[in-house]
Formats: sequence, C-alpha cells, structure tokens
Amino acid sequence: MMTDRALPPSAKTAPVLQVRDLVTEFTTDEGRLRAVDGVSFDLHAGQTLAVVGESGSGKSVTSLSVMGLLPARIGRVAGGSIKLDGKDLVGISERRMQRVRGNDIGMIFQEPMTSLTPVYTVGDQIAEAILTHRDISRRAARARAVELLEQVGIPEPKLRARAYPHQLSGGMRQRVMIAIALACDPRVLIADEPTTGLDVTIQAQILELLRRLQAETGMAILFITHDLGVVAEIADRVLVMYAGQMVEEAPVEALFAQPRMPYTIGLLGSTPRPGASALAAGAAPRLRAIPGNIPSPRALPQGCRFHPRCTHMREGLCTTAAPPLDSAAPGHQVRCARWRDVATQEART
Amino acid sequence: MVFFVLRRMLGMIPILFLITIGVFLVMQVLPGDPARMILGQEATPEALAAVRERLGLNQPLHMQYLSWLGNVMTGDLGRSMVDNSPVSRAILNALPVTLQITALALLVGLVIGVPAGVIAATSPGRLGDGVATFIGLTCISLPGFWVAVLLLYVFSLWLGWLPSSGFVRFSVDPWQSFLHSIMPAIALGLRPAGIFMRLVRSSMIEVMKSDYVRTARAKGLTARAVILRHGLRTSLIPLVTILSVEFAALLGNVVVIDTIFGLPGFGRLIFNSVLRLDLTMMQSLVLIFAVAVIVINLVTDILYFILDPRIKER
Ligand SMILES: Nc1ncnc2c1ncn2[C@@H]1O[C@H](COP(=O)(O)OP(=O)(O)O)[C@@H](O)[C@H]1O
Ligand SMILES: [Mg+2]
Repeated sequence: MMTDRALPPSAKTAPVLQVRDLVTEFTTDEGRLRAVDGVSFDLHAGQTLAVVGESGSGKSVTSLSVMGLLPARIGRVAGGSIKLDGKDLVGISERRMQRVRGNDIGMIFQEPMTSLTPVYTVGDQIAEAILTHRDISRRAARARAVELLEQVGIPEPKLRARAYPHQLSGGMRQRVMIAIALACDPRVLIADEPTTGLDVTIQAQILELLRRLQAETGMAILFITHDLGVVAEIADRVLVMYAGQMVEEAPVEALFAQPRMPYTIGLLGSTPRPGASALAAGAAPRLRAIPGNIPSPRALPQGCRFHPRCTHMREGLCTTAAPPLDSAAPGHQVRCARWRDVATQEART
Repeated sequence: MVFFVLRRMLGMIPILFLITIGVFLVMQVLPGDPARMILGQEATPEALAAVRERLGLNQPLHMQYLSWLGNVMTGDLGRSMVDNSPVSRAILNALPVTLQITALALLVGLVIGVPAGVIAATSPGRLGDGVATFIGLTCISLPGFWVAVLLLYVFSLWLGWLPSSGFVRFSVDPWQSFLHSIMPAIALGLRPAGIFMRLVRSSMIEVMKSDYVRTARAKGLTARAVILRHGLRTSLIPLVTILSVEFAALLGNVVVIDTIFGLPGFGRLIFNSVLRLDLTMMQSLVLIFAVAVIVINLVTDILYFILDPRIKER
C-alpha cells in the first residue's frame, strides 16, 4: 500500500493543479514584501502533496494564493501561474474565482473551533455551500448535507445537522468543515494544518477520514503541516518551504530516506539512513527545533536564505550566491549549493 | 423559548419591587407638604388635616406604601395634585404618542446607522468609510433640539411640507399621524443612528477578519452573501445591547422634543408636572420609566436569545 502511494505520479496524466513560479507579495507600511518566492508543484488526482516548513515560511500564503483569498488590496499574486485543469486562475475575475472556490477547490483550516459561523446550524452551513454552486432545492440540499455528515463519520447525522457549532467538539467541527469543503465534490482539497490543535487520537481519525475520502472520490489533496509525523501518514510527495522558497521536493519515502537539503535534515532531526527509513521503522519522525529563527521576508540574508542557521555553511559560497533548485534524483529537487558534499558528509557520520 | 421568557419575567419581579420602594421613598424625602400643595398657602389647619386624612398621610410609612402599591397594581396611580384628574388617564393618553415617536426614532437610527456601518466596515480606510464615519460622527455631535429647529425651519416654514406643531393620533388618521411624527423621529433618531453606525462598523470590521468569514469566502459565496449572511448577522448581536441603552436615552430626550414640536407625549407630562410640582404625576412617571427600562431589557434578552443560539446553553 505504502509503496503504491509513494510512487511518483504517472507522467502521462495531466496534473489537476499545476503551480509554476508562484510569487506572492504583500504591500505593507514598510513597503512591499515577498512572502512566496518562486514556488512550483504539480498536484495529481488521487495524490497528496504535503507542504512543510516552520511557521512563517509561506505555506498558508501559498494556499491562499491558490484559493484567491489573499487579503484584499494588501496581498497579490505578483508572478507565475496557477493552472486548474490547464486554465490559469491568476488574474481571472472575482466572479469566476467564486465559481472555483468551494466547487473545484475546497479548503479546510487550522482552527475548527472558530471556522464555523456561530449563529447557523451546521446542516445549514453545509447546505449553503451546495446551494451556492448547484441548482437544487433547499430541501434537497439539506438532505445532501445530512448525507455528507454521515460520509465524514458523524454519528446521528440527521440530529447533528440541526446542531450549532458550539454544541460540537473540535474533532466534530473539523469533520463538518470537511463536509463543507467536499459538498460540491471538488477535485482539489486544500488542508491548511487541519489537525493542529486537535488531540492525537482525533488527529489520527481526521487523517484516516481524509485518506478514506480521497480513496472514494479521487480528489487531490494539498496538505499543509509542520508535523513530519503527519506527513509520513498522509503524503505521496513532500514540498519543503523555507522563507518563501521551496528548498526541497521529493516523494515522501525519498525525502525521509535521503533528505538532501540541510534544512530538511535538520527538520527530520536524524541523519539519513539510506534504505531503512524512519517510516519503515515505525518511529514517527518529529520536527526537531533548529537553532536560530526563520528570517522575516523583510530582512532576507544574502545568498542562501538558510545559511545563517546551516551547519554545512561555507563562507564565500553560501553567503554570496542564491543557490538554484538542482535535481538530486529523478523527481527529487533540492536548493543547496553543497548538497553533494552534504550527502557524503552526512553518510560518514 | 417560553420557559426562557417566563424565567426572565420572574426574575424581574424583585427588581420591580425594589423600584416601587425606591420611587415611594424618594417622593417622601422630597420637601413640601402635599396637602398644602393641593390646598394652597391660605388653607386652614382643619382643611389641611382633612386632606391628610383623605390621602392617608397620617398613616405610618409602610402602611402608606402598601396602600399605594395596592393601588398601583390595580392600575390606579392616584390623582393629580394640580387638577385632581386621574394620573392613569393622562399617562394612557401620552403613552401611544411617545411610543410612536420613539419607535420611529429607533427605526430612523437603524435605517441610517446599520447600512452606513456596513459600508464603512467593508471599505475600511477608503472613501466609503470616510464618508460614513463623518456622517456618523455628525449625527452623534448634533444636539437634538438644534436638529429639531433646523428641520422645522426647512420643512415647515420654508418648504411647508410638514406640519410644524401638534399631533394627530394614529387611530384617527394614520397618514397625518405619520407626517406629524417624521421630524420629531429624525431629531431624536440621528444620535442613535451615529451610535449604531459606529458600533456596526467596529464589530463588523472584527467579524470580517474572523475565521468563519474566511470559511464563507472559501465556499465560493459572493461578497454580498459573505457580508450580509455571515458578517452582518453576527455583528447584530452587540447592536442589541446598545439598542436598549439608546431607547432609554430616547425616553429622556422626549421632554425637549415634545416641547419643540408641541407633542402631547410623556415629555409634556414631565415638563408640566415639574413646573407645577405635581408630585403624584412625577412619582407615576418615574415609575413608568423604570418599568419601561426593565421591559426593554427583557425584550433585549429575548432578542439575544433569538439572535445568538449560544445563549440557549446558559
Ligand atoms: N496579511 C499579511 N500581511 C503582511 N504580511 C503577511 C500577511 N500574511 C502573511 N504575511 C507574511 O507572509 C509570511 C508567510 O506567512 P504564512 O504563509 O502565514 O506562513 P506559514 O508557513 O506559517 O503558513 C509571513 O512571514 C508574513 O510576514
Ligand atoms: Mg500557516
């Protein structure tokens, strides 16, 4: 099973979502800042791409760019393309974007406790999503809402449809959020840290639910998280972000077995062991704190953005030229000028 | 729902009781001898004693209170000290006038204040916000009597569109009644309009940043649906609180408005009773106002209950 999912997506099928060189900027009091700088990825049907990185690395801004939900007048996509089934979403009208949101792309968020409107029943909030995109009766939408509640594993869905958000637990609310996101059978689900803040058993249940729904519907999932244990659970491919840039992208097994970028190695907190991955050993890799802080987009270091925190940093090389993305293996990209040296060094220790 | 209302009403009883005691005691402490007030300075001691006997003023205080309370409960508020007419009748005559004017004033406040607040909140820092905020601030700072005089000058004296003075009861001629109410309602309602506008603006700016508004947008709702169904709906909850406070404030402002527009409402009763030192009337008016404020609070609670499902848990 695991190896099946970890296979690189077939090159023949076109990706549902294709992001190329995405640049997202914010206009702030202190001028313009680039929160996302040149992110590219392909998302295929039935596959899950995990986006990982420390807080502030630009994961949420990437997902909001795809949804067209950047804060009005402050944030904007300044470059690149976001293609859904080959059609670019960048620069289309708000009206056309509204038809994409909730219909082609569903989204769930980190805070299930506050993400539902407190004054409407959850059934009505699901039905609203359906009525927005489908030409069906209110009755039919309500009935469909109950079905969806059942589908996301809520017991007594008929009764729960009439409950208000505050009457449900955090885990239940996240299930309702999933029901809303899936109400119109979107081909892409964006999940921005959907399990952060839930306790571990609930977290596992939500992941299991997402896996099941993906198997049932064949939707593609863009899964944002900073928990590498979660990545191991759910992802087919992983994209590592640092200070607005993608610094490594690889199939999940390759990333855990042979992380190339010193930042990823630091996150994994273990030296790479070729062959036997931490995954296979069953030990959930934990995110290890790397000394130092992620730089603000306002004050990016010269050269490689990670060099001030990097144990492999070489003066003169890493401090001057920004390294390009390099291919370490087929389907495995890394942004590090010294990844070959790092690989041999790490292998020796 | 019924249970909730009943519980709140039961909770009101002790408060009402305390208010009657308060009102009664205040009137006792006020200087002046009611008997002498009724009969005038030249009254003979015998006549004074007779009146005191009739009014029960010789009884101990608690007996006086109980008999007064008994009368009040049966709707008998006593007789005016000035012309001996029943106070209840005067109040019943003035009540519909004041209710009509204040209800219309609140409506003016809501009709101007809520949309202005929404416009301001959905375009923070831009032209719409600037204009709406300016109008809101103007509404709050203009004194009611000044607006009243200005309206009178423009619409009655100059354009001649609206009657300048007096009142026609709704039961007699609804249209004329409405025409007579417009200017008083606007003069009273501008201040609440400004206050509602500022409240809706600030609470809605917060709500528009909330996670659930983000969810609503992620569903693909139109901007209009997001603002009205998810933004405004929850912003109305704090509005309910201020609504009751403003209604109480309106009741206080009717004196000026009734006087300027010659309305036979509570304002006139207050004015006349103070002028003539009609203690019974004053006592009854204070009581009515206190009861009105309590009833408004009950209505507020019920509105909360309807608007915010989270309250049902408590
Ligand atoms: N509304 C905003 N205004 C200005 N800057 C923002 C805004 N939202 C995000 N940013 C910037 O974008 C960067 C990335 O943020 P984000 O994508 O939320 O990180 P994360 O990876 O934790 O999800 C942050 O460093 C922040 O400075
Ligand atoms: Mg985030």
